[in-house]
Formats: sequence, structure tokens, C-alpha cells
Amino acid sequence: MANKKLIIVFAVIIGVVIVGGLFIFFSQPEKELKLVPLQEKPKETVARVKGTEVGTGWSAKENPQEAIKEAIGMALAGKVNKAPDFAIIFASSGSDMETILSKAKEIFGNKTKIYGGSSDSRAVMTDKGFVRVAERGYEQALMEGRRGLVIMTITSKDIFFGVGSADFSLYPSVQEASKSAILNAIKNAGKSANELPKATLVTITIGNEEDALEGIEQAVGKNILLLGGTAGGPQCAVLGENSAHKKGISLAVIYTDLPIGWTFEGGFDVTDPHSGIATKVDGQNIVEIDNRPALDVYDEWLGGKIGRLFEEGKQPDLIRDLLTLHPIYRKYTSSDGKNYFLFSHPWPKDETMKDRSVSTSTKIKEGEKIYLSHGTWETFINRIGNLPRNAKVEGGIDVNKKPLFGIGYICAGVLGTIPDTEREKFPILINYANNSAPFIATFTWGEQGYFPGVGIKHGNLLTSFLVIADKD
Amino acid sequence: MKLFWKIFSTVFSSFIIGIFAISYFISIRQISDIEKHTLEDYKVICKLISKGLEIGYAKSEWPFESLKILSERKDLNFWWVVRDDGVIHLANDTSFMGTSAYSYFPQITNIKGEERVILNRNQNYGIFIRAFEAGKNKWLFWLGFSLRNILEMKRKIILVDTIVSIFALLLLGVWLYFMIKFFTKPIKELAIGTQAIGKGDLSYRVKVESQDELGQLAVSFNKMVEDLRKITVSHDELAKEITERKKAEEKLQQQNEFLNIILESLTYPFYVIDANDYSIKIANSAARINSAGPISTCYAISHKRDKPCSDEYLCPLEEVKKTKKAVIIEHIHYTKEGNLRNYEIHGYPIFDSEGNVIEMIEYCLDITERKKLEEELKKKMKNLERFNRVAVGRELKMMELKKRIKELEARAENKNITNPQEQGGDTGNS
Repeated sequence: MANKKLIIVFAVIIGVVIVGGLFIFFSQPEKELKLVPLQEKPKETVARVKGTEVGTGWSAKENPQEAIKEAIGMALAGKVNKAPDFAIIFASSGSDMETILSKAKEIFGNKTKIYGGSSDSRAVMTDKGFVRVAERGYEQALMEGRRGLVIMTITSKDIFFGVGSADFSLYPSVQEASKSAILNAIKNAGKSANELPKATLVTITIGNEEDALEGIEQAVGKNILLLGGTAGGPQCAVLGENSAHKKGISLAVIYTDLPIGWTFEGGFDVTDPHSGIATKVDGQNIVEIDNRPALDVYDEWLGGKIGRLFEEGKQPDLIRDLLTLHPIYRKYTSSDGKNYFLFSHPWPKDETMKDRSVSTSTKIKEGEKIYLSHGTWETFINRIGNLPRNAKVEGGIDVNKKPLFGIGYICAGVLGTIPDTEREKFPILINYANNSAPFIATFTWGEQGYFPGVGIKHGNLLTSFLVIADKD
Repeated sequence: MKLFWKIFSTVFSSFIIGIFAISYFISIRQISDIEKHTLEDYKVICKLISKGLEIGYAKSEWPFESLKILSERKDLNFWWVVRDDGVIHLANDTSFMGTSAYSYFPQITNIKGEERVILNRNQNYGIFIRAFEAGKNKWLFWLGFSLRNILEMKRKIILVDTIVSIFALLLLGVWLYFMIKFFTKPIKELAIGTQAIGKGDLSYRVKVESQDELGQLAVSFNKMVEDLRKITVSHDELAKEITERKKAEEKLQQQNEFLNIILESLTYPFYVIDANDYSIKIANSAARINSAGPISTCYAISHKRDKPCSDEYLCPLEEVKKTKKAVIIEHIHYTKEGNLRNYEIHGYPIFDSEGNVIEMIEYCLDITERKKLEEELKKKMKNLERFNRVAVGRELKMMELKKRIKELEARAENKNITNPQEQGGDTGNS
């Protein structure tokens, strides 16, 4: 009996020692490194170089009047001129563009020329930061109802701006409307139609891009530096001089002797061997490639990826984002032999996949050869980060020079592929490459740009950036 | 404490100490290895990313995918690409971009060389810093990692090692229990055997299940028990015999006592005389009282002689030895006071198994008074004869006298009634 007691006591002591030791060891608090970011944000990016004053602002307020007021207040903070010569406004899709415009005009007065339109529902951006709006893009964004708005104000004695717009419904054709818009813009800049602008900024509502560009070409020819983007959706709109247009074009022409740099690029890998002829098209939809259903062919090129995504029950917007990494492109060669690649973002026209057409948001003509390309989100974010640098290089501006300002158009499809956590890096990267010069950027549903020697083109999954620098 | 538990507790305690000591050293080794490997991993990551950054800088293409993978790792606190002016160019958390890296870690200054590692065990973090070429400048890649991973691994290792140790101890305990039980079983059986034997069960046998020392011990034990059993049986027989003998002795003693009482009750000397040397072996009190000297030999105490009677008296012993029959012989013996008295000596032979006379029983009847009466009778007879011859009526007197004689003879016969068979036997003189 005594033995048993002794053994039990012995076992209990060992048990208590082990359990107690483990408990003490495991109950030790785990200290962790907690870093709190310091408020050492970039210094005021207000550019006031000689005769040019640039400001940027943003707001995420739901109320459009309050939002534009807040953004304008931010942009004009510390500025001499409270009524800038020119203002660019981009507001996330679904924003009350009409109210925004009227309120802006109210604040600025009639002197300020306003250009802009809607951005993708997910974001707008300036040098002050990435304004995150809706979590999901496309139609899914309609459910969220969040709003974001950015503005850039420019007052300059060296740069002359002219704005023009057109409501397509008021013209016999998109081409006519666009032609009218650019001519009005040139006129608005105080220039004659013969004086081609140094640069043209354009925002067009979706589905009419090629026609609009055609009209512009008819007015000013093919060799015009034009950068722009399709107004972001799903509820797109452009700002006119007096009202917003749900189907229309907004234009700004820039006249200046200051150095201008720009870039319009895709950056995808164009070495994939898959290609075919668009044998049947319907507007912005490719119906057949090589006389076969376009979706079948495209899915084959992707090794059945679309079918798998559909079977996995992926949401259409997510499928569309994923297909962003596999765009099709057309190849253009300039007279001097330089190749340009115009990318299109394909996705199944029918969410149920019954219709085997492929939508692209671009008008591909029958008989055009299309190729398959590939990209990664890393390609995109680097491309975004390098936009100012590439623009400066293209414009012969020293890459280390801080420009007066920058204006960017970034494909919303590209945005969708970049992980959410990485998106806030955009403005920081751009600021570094842009030497912290003020900039504004919109996320578009199509991009328009100029291929020297080829003309102005509309594509997808492209990015463009314009910088204007001071002389020396 | 039982032997089993003594062995068990001793060995098990040793096992506990041993296993936990081994577990401790294994844990230390594992933890050290893990820490080393983890740091090596971070070092490799830092090196690879730095290379990627170097190439990325040259191509204006940062390795964002790789950096994002780092961002998603729970074991990493942060990663920073720090410009030569100390400003964070890229970071996992964009909130840090554009701020000074050194403001977060003032203790980190003057980074020289390609690589540096800072460990802060109090706050469970470490930082690998590696320089890379950014054009003409040297930028740094900072990789902040959590040591919590190592701490967790440490805890896991200790937990697993402890559980394994406890499990091993349990297994060993069970194994030990049965092994010790197995090995101490013969000893236990021996103990049970000794207890059984102690209780007298000499039929108990220990099972012999092995050929080892314990088996040999069991065999020896069984042999010992068998021997003991045999000895005990002899002992029992001896005890029985002793008991019987004791009983016989008691009986004999009783008989002796009875005989002594009888002998002591006799008022006349009684002896048992050795047939060989005439020594007196037994003598009753009457004999000792009447003895002329110390009890030694018959002839010494009766006749004060130094040799047996041969010439003056017929020796009863010699007669008994010669005739092998009882004899009655009259002798004149000395009394204690040195007086001479007539004795009628009755001798009876005692034979051995072969019929030889080895001893003789002798008792002596004092017949001095009888002798005197006989002498008086003789004298009276002579006087009667003379009276017959001298006095008238002598005939009547003679008749009376005869009658008187007959009465005396009757009295004499009554005295000899104890040995009536002798009355008609030998009539030797003493």
C-alpha cells in the first residue's frame, strides 16, 4: 500500500513537473516587432516652376458636390491661381458626373477648361495616392456604390489648353461628333485648325472608340500625338464643356513649346506562336477565327483555360481579369520598319458560353491577323512604375528631371490582374520615376494612343503616360 | 518495498533522467539546427531577391511577384528596398514607402559590406540587410523576419520531444514492468517457496523456466527443499523415536521409580551386583544404611574383604553364575556398626540375550534372631531331652514343646512367604 502511494506521488510529481514546465514555457508571451509607419510622406508635390502651377487633389466622399469641393480644395491649396487654366477630372464609374462638373464649374468659374470622364469603378489615382474605390470591377461594382474622384489643376503661361466634347447622340455619326469635338478643342485653345496640338488627350465612351479616332483623324490627320482612354465603366461618362455625356467624347488639346514626353505601350510577351485570321467579326466581337468559332480557337490557344475557369464557376469578371494576361494583338509596322503591337482584351461574349464569340472592346476587321500574347501582373506593375521614365525617354527629357506634371491612362483590366495589396504601390513608383511631380491617372476600359508612322489606334490592356517638363 | 518496485523505480528513474537528458540534448540540437537553417534560408532569400533587384533595377523591372511571395509569408515581418539615402523605395507595406528605414531601427547604422544580420531575441525579430547595385549607387534590401517561427518550432520541438519522451517512457515503463516481472518471477516464486516451506509445505517446488543463474538457483532451491524434506522426515522419525524413547524412558523411569519405591520399601538390603566385577550397581537405602563401608563391591561392604568370598563362605554370585539359578545362602555380614549378623542371602540371576549371567539380584534377610531362636530351640530341645529324661510327664511337655516348635516353624514359614519357591530350593549355609 505504501509502495503504491509512493509510486503515485512519484508519478504525480513527474507529471506536475512536465506539465508545469510545458505550461510555463508555452505561456511565455510572444513579443513581436510592431512597426508603425512614420508620417514622412513625400513633400508637397505642388509644381510651381516659373510660369506653371500644378496641383492635384482627391476625395472619396460619396456626395459628388462635397467630393469635388474637397478635391479642388486640395489641388488649389497653396496656389496663387484659384481659377486654373485647365482641370482634369476623373471620377470612378457611377459617380454623378453631371453634378461634379457643375460644381467644379461653380468653384472654378468659366475660365477653367475642364476635361475628363469616368474611371473604372475600382480606382483613380494621383501623386498623392491610390484612391481605392470598389472592391470588384465591372458589373459587380454596381452593387458597392462607393465613389472616388481625382483632379489635376494646371495654370501655365507656357501651356495652352483647349477642350472640346461631343454627345454622339447629337451628331449623325461618331466620326462627325469627334471631328467636331477636336476642332472645337483647337478653337478653344485659341488656335486655328491648321495648328496641330502638341498633344491631345481624349476620353471616349465605350464601343465608339475606333469611330471616334477615325473622326479625329479626319480632322487633324494620322500623325497627331493623341493619348487617351475609354471612360471606365460599367457606367461610363465623359465631361463636356457644359454637361456630362453618357455617349460621347471629351477632348483636350495642348499647345506648348515645353518638352513633351509620352509613352503608349503594352509590354506583353509577343513570342507565342499561336495566331489566326479573324474571318468573321461583328462590331467589337470576333465571331470566327480561321473560320471556326472564335472562343473555341482562343480557348485552344490557351490550352482550355477558359473552359476550366468556367467549370470552376469563376465569376465572369474574374475570368475577364485572368484573360487579361493572354491578350490577342495585331501587329503594325511603321514606314521606318518599327513594329507596334496593338493589344485587345478578349473575353467570352456570352457569360453562359453558348455564344462562342469573343468580345475584345476593339474593332478588329475581318481578314486581320491576330496573335496570342502573354503577360504577368509583374509586367504590368513594372510597366506602370516605369511610365514616367519611358515617357521622359521618349520625349528626350532627362530621366532624372522632375517634369511639371504627368497624365496617365492605365487599363482597368491591367489593374484587375495586379494583386490588391500591390496596387497602392502605383503612385509611389510613379512618383519615384516622375521625381515626385504631380500626376493624375485614370483606369480605362480601352486605351487610345499614337503609333508614329502608323496612326492613332484603339486597343486594350495598354498604358499611356504624358509628361510635360520645363525647359532645362 | 518489494524487490520488483525497487528495481522498477530505480531503473525507471534512470530512464526518466536518461530519456529527458537525451530529449533535452536532441531538442537543443534540433533548435540550433532549425535556427541555423532558418537563418540560412533567410540569407538565401535575401541574396536571391537582392540579385533579382539588381537585375530588376538595371531592366527597370522589379521582381514584384517574388516580392509579393515574400509579403505573403507569415514568417516575414517586412521587406524593404532602401535607397542609398535611406529612404524606403519599395516595401511590402506601402505605408512605409518614402520614409526613412533608419528611423525605425536607429540602432542600425553604418552598414558596411555586402551583408549584415541583426537579431533581436527580445522582440523576436531579425533583419538581413544586403546591398545590391542600383546603377551607380548601392541600395539595400532589408528582410525583416520573425523569430516567432523559430520560437514556435522550438515549442513544437520541445512539445514533440516531450510527448515522444513521455510516450517512450510509457512504453519503456510497460516494457520494464513486464521484463522486471519476468526476471523477478523466479525470485518471487522462490520467495513464495520459502514462505511455503517456512509454513512447512516441503512439497512445494519452484518452476524452473530458464537455464540462467536464477534457473540454477531454482534448481538448487528445489534440491535444497528436497534435501530438507528428507532431513525433516528423518528428523521427524527421530523425534518420534525420541518421543517414544522418552515415553519409554518415562515409563522406565516410572518403573524405576516404582522399583525404587519397592526397593526403598524393602527393609532389608537389596543389591544388583555386576557379575563380572562384583560391583554393586544398585543398592537400596536399607543396604546403604547397613553397609559397613561405601557401596562398592558385595564382599567389601558385607565382609570387609578385598576379594570375593571363596573359602569361608560360598559366594552366591559364583553359585548363580555356576548354576544360573536362584540361590539362598546364609552369610554372616558385618553391620555398619561393625557387628556381625546372620543373613540369608537370596541371589537371582540376570541374563543377557545370550543367556549369560551378567548381573545378580541379591537381597539379604537378617536371620540373626531366627538363628538365635534356633539356637535357643536347640538348647531347649536339649533341655527337653534332658527333661524327658529327667522329669515326669516329660511326654506331655514334649508334646507341648513340639507344638511350640511347630508354631515357631509356622512363624518361620510366614517370614519366608515372600519367596515360597525357594523354600524347597537350595539350603546352602552362609
